[in-house]
Amino acid sequence: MTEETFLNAVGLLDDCYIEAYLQAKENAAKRARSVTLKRWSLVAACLALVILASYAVSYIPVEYDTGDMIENSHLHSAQLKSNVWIYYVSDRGWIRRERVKMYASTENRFDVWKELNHIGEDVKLLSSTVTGYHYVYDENGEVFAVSFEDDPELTVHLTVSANICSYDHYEKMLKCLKRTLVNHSSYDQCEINLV
Amino acid sequence: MTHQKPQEDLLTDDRIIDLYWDRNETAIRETDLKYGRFLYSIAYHILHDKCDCEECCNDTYLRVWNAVPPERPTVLRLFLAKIIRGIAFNRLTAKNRQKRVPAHLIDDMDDVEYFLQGDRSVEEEVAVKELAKNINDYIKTLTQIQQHIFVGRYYFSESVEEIAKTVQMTRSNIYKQLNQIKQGLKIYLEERGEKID
Repeated sequence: MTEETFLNAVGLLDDCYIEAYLQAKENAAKRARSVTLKRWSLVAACLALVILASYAVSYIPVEYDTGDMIENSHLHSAQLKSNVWIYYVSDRGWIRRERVKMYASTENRFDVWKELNHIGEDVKLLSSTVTGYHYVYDENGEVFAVSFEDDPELTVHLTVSANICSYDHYEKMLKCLKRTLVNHSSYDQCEINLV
Repeated sequence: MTHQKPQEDLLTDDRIIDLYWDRNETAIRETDLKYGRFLYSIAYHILHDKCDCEECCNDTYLRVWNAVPPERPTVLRLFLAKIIRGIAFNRLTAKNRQKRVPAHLIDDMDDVEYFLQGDRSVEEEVAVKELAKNINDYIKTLTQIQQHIFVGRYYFSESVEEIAKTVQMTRSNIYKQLNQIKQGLKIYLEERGEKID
């Protein structure tokens, strides 16, 4: 029996053996595909988890000690702390934001904004008023009530020391202050007067 | 060889065979799309040469075109596999003989294959059939895994690694099994009067 005879004889094997082998091969390929798929799904899931975790970590608020600020701001003691985005100008001059857990009054926001922007005591919040409440008038043209039902445009007017103009990027800082007061708050607009 | 279509776009085997029966030439294209890679891999395990494999695939399509009709294969994949295996082994034998014969005496590989096909004597044919019967009888005595290993190794000339993947065993286990199969076959054939060189 030569090698050639043997290979020719093997070529005459019953179909059932060949078909069974081809089937086994197909099943193995399917198995391999599903294993690869599972492996990649696992990698993708881990990656998603890492991204999600890193995103979540960046959102963990920094708790500022606002004890003094509360006293100054005459806040009601029952007011709860909330997470507030404070915008500031970084050393490189880029606008950044940081989430701070604090009593979210205008004064407190202003104080934390000052701290993050490294602004000294020469800059102060001289006054803050809010306009834009929806007034309901009676028959005589007198103010009858203040209503929030019609979704009024609220504007917070700030008067800030003009000393801020001596700081680098002060325009950006003021922009940050506006964002700090308007974003995620009940105010719709912010106007700043420098005195 | 063309690129494979997505699985859902491929025609069923029955539809492809119908196309052959209708003498529609798209049958060859559809066969290539569905089984091109499969056939190529069978040929490649035997020949290890890209050009030869492509020629084998084309020869297979031609052979199927000529055979269907009148034949109507029940399992097209098996039908194709058997044809390409035969063609690939013929080509391999031809190549091996070509090495022994001075190149100037052979114009073309096809010439050698042509002579090879008519080369087998009646005695040889009988011997091959007798041996095939004995091998088939021997395979029946093997376990299913051993049958797979035998077919993978000796029918499709696959590597031990590939067989290991198919039957989900380690390489060393496959080697062990192969040794057992070979020893068993040798004894089985000797008992039936087969001369083993």
